[in-house]
Amino acid sequence: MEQTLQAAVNDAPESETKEHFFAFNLATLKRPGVILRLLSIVTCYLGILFAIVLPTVTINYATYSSSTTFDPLRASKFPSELIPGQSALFGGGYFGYYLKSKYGVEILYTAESKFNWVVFFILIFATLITILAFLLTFSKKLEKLSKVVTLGYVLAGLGVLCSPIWFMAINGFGNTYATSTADLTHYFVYDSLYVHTAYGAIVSCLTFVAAAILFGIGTNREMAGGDSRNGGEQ
Amino acid sequence: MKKSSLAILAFALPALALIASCSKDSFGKAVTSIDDFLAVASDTEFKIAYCELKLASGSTKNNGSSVATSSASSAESEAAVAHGAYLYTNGDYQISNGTENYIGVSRTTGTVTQYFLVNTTSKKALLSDTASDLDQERAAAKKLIDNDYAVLKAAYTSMQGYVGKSASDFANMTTLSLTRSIAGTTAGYTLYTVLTTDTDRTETSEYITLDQFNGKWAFSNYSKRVTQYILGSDAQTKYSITEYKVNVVDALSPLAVSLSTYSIYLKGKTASDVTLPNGIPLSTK
Repeated sequence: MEQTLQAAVNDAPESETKEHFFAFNLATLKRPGVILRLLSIVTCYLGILFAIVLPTVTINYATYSSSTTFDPLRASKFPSELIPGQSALFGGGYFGYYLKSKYGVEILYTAESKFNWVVFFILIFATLITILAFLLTFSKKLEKLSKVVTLGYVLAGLGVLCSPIWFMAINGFGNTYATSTADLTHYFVYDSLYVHTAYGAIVSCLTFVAAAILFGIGTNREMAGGDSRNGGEQ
Repeated sequence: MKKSSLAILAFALPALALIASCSKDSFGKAVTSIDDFLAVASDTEFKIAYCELKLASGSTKNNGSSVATSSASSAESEAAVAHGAYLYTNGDYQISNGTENYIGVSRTTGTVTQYFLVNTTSKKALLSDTASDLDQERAAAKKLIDNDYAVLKAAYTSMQGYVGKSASDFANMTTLSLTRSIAGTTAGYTLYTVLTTDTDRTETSEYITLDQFNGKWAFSNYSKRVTQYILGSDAQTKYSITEYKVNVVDALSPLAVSLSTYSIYLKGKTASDVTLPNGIPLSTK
């Protein structure tokens, strides 16, 4: 009896006894699920590229209500100002917006953008997610983290979509405290300022979502096709 | 494999170039040459409806050595309008320069034109049939507008003196920034300097905004804000604000003025000389 059990153990497939943390070979690359997951990584990098290259922040002026004190004519003449992603991210770029003094003058102010560590962190986060996506594509042990990757892509997309919020916070304008401070020299009103998402941030966000979808489908295909991460074909 | 790689490159590179070209510059830039300053037309080339000067100042005493800490006492003064001059159709005008405050208005009914010169300080209105009675104060109003516009032009010229220079080119200057934005038909210049000595630190921000009228640039808003942080045991912060507002228009608007709050008298006549048919004097003053 003991000999029989020993023989059964010895005859077990090698793939089950030698499970590698990271298994990569050309045969793996032929699986549709793997291809889709790798495509999601490329798509994510494309999303990062869009967030850097395309405009992510738009500055406009609008008359919101009868209580708006900013000159409606001046507001209507302000063309949409698109802030390029690299300027919003790395800083060093210049952009203009109106400052209305409580004494009445409306000045077109020029500000220099600052390094946006929030967006930088979001893009670093997205990069780390791609690394995780790559590792778990070829590692059975990390498979349980596949939902984290999908969620990470979506969160990165939402983070980029919120670029105007980070931009205003980092560059310190559009804030309400500037309208209530006792410091005469910094008393400005922002009641017509309208900072919102530019098309680049929307495109980037959709790209991140596309990456999440690709990765999700890839994961689904991998699960449907069974787990064979140790290099073997199904 | 090589063909597919080349095909990918053939599509990818132009696509990336296209994406990069989509990125538009925002309106701002650092002023690096004198060419970055727009040519501003003379005030004679525009119809300026009005100029206003507002001044404000304040100070904050600080308890400790740090000027950023809580204030023990503060004072703020604001002058609503230090002076202002306003022009309207038919040669009507309004001027207030602190000591002389007048409204000049004419009304034509049929073939008769009447001229009112209203002293808004004494609340008396002179009624006359002579157009020249409004000339003196109208000239003062126009002169005030010319002077204000000249002040803005001088500030604009002064700003150009900072082009191509850094803070190290000026005594005690630690920060110098000169930038510009053009947003459609509006342009704005921002000058920021910081002067630091052993006893104080002075931050000065100057903003000049221009608007385009009929293809020409004219000054429209100016603000100069100075904050002086006095260091040491008697630490305090002083503020000073100077703001000009110029309104350039295509056509002047009519003046609407209510004479109900003014006592009207006829030129060359005393109140008792003129009575209404029922015997009531035209004016009691």
